[in-house]
Order: sequence, then C-alpha cells, then structure tokens
Amino acid sequence: MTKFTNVIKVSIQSRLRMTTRLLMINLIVVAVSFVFTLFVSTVRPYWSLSLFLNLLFWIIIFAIAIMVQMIISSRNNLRSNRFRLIPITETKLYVADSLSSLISFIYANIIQVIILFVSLKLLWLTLPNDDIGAGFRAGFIHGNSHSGGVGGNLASLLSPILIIMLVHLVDFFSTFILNYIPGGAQKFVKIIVYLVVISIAVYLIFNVIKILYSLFTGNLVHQATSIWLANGVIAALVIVVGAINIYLLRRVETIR
Amino acid sequence: MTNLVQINNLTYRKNNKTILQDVNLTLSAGHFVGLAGANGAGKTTLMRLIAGVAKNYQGQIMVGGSSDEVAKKAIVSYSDELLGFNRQTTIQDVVYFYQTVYPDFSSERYQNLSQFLKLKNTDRLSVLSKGTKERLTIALTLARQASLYLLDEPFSGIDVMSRKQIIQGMLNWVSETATVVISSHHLEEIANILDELVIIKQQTILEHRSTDDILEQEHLSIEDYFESLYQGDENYD
Repeated sequence: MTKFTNVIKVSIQSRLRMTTRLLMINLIVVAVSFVFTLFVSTVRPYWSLSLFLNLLFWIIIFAIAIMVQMIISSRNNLRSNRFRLIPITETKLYVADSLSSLISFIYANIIQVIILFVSLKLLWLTLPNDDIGAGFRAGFIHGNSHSGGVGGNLASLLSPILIIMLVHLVDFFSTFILNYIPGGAQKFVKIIVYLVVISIAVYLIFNVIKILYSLFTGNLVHQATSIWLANGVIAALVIVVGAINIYLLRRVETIR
Repeated sequence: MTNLVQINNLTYRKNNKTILQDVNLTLSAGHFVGLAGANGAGKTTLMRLIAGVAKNYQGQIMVGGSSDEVAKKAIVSYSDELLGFNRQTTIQDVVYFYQTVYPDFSSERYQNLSQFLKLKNTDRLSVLSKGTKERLTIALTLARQASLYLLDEPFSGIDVMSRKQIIQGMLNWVSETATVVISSHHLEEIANILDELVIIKQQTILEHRSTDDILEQEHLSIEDYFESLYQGDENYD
C-alpha cells in the first residue's frame, strides 16, 4: 500500500508549483499595471499609493484565479486514473487532496501578506505629507487595519476549502445520479442534471450564509465572538460535506 | 492454488445500459492472456473494473484472493493514458510521481525499458507523439513489479516494427509468475506470446481457451478463429 505521506507529497508539490506560477504572473501583472499608472502625472507623486492599490486589486483577482485553478486541479485529480489507481483508500486520497489545497492557500496567503506588508511599509515611508497623504494615513488608522485578526484569517482559509468541497459535491452527486438515468451520457441530460444539483446547492448555501450573517450583531466593535462562531459553522460544514464527498467518491468512476 | 483473478457473476450497467452481464472469468498466475472483442464490446470496461476505477457493479471481482479495492490496486498495474497529468509535465516528473506513489515501482527496470523504448526524460507530454505516449505508458506500467498487468490496446499508435520488438521484449520484462492481459486489435502480432484468449461478445465472455487448444483443435490462427466467431454478425466492423 502507498503511504499517506507520499500521496500528500506529490499532491502538495504539484499544487505549490501551480500556485507559485500564478503568484509570479500576479506580480508581473502588478508591475505592468503599476508602470502604466506612472504615465499619469498626477499619480506620480503618490507612486507608492498607486503600487499598494494595484497590489491590493490584483491580489484579490488572482486569489480568485488561484481558487478556480485549485478547484479544476482538485477535480481532475479525483476523477482521473492518475490518483485513483494509487493503492490507497478514497478517504485518505480525499483528505490528502483537501490538505494540499489548504496548504497551497496558506502558502499563497503568506506570500501575498508579505508583499502587501512590504508595500504598506514603503507607502508609509514615502507618501507625501500633503492633504491626500495625511487623509489616507488617518483613514487607514481609523479604519480596519486589524479587522478579523486570527479569526478572519481562519475564515479566509476555511471558506475556499468549503467552496472546493461544494464543487466536488455538485460534481460527484451529479455524476452518481447520471449513472442511473437513461440517456445519462447525453450532453443535454448532463446539463439539466448539473443545473438542478447546482440550484439545490446554491439554495442551501444561501441559507447557510443567512445563518452566518445572523450571527453578527451589527456592532462593528464586538465581532470577535461572531467571527469565531462563523468559523465553527464553516468548519462543521467542511467536515460534513467532506464526509459526504468521501462516500460519493467511492461510487464515482474515473473519466475515460 | 488460489487463482490470480476470480470474477463471479459480474454485471455492470452504466447510464441504465447493460455493458457486461453474467461475466465469469478465472485467470491463473504466469500467463499472457489476450482480450479480444469488437469495438465497444466491453474490453476496456472489464479492465477498468478489475483495476478498480469503474464502480457500481454487481458480482464479485477478486484479485490475488482479495476483493478489497486497495489490496487489488497494490498488485494490479493498469496502463494509464496519463490523462491526469498537466501537458507541460516532463517525463522525468511523471516517473518521479510513479516512484513516489507506487512502492513496487522499479527505477532500474524503468531505465532499461526507457532505453529500449527510446524515451527522453526531458520531453514534455505536450510534445510527445501518440506512439511515444504509448511507449511511455508501456514503460511505466511494466516498471511496476505487479502480479497482474492490464495493457489496454498498448500498441495502437506504435509502428509495426516497434510493435514486434516490444511484443518480444515483454517476455523478458515481466516476471514468470505475473499475468499480463493485453487487449489488442492486432491479434496476429501478439498471438505468438499468448497462452490464453478471452473473447467478449454480446456483453459477456463468449470464449476463454488456451491458444494451443485453438491451434490444435480448430486448425485456425488466433485471428481467424476470432473472426470466425463474428462471421455473419452484422454489428462487427
């Protein structure tokens, strides 16, 4: 039998390679975008602010891109012979896949936070002390510089994992029921089934978000308890959805 | 003596359509077995079921005396089409993957196969021709020290000369106690190394005979014998 650690090793290596590639493209895009802003004479004195805002914008875009790429990679791994032929239980395979996604998200987060921190430091040191510079500094301090803290960071790591697992759930469940539907191989039938399952999933997620939202008292000062409660709900969903996915994975074939 | 493969009353349906029905098959260790049938007969499906990547069947499939999926996968080497790998992956990285996840993968045997099959470690999957990919698949499959090898149409993209070399080479690469199941449309080329022939027709196993038996009793080549079973069948192409 294959060791669990070996499966995690190959899974993590491939995910980290993919994430690093996207992060590098992210930096290149930021560099190009930033250089373009320097052509505007009014922006040039506030170049460090422009750099920071460019970084913030593109990091958010690429965070979504990283998640989408992770979803595609994870789905391909779980539905292809490459991983499913390995002599290991589906439970361990699924856990290894989810862990490698989580580690990749942590890695991406760390890199992005470091880059943002350096940019912020640069901004703080070089922003002119005029009205715009002073206004930005005051707004930043007054606002949300410590928003979320540890609780928020945990939610930002658990949420993408939950999203990936929900995509798996839709895919596995649709594939499972298509096997019992006459004409299930036809594209039209597949689309209908996937749409129905996605609709049900979206309805359930919407109700979960309502529950999470109701945990917040509306008072921005006392969010700590609410954030940890939300983390608890998300963690519980990760476990439940993960368990359902493992059950379904044992019944879902690889793609020919 | 425990049979290597024991399949009892296997029925498999997909999308509410019966693909295989009441399949019973017994394979012993140390044989080369040809798996023949028309396109769509169920050869690949049968191999996928044995390998454990096709699910939701009725009946029993035992390999090496066990029906546990993980135990079966540990001793079965199935020719994977490398679909799960990114196209920019190099052959070297693919080999690294196999070395890491398969405890029975022999690097030495792979090196020998790689040289014989003229594979370059630095090549990416995206630049490989169909034939080279097939060669890589053969090398990776046979580099494992498995008890059962399942080769699904391994020669489809390979030229005639290379096919003959590879087929003869198989006898040297595989352990005497291992069984190799090969599905191929080029029966005449693999006939020399086959000990047994399994023919799938009408969703079940029509025939399972030793090749010596066919030659002596039917006085036909393996390919002619296979074609005689399909004579008059309008569905055969």
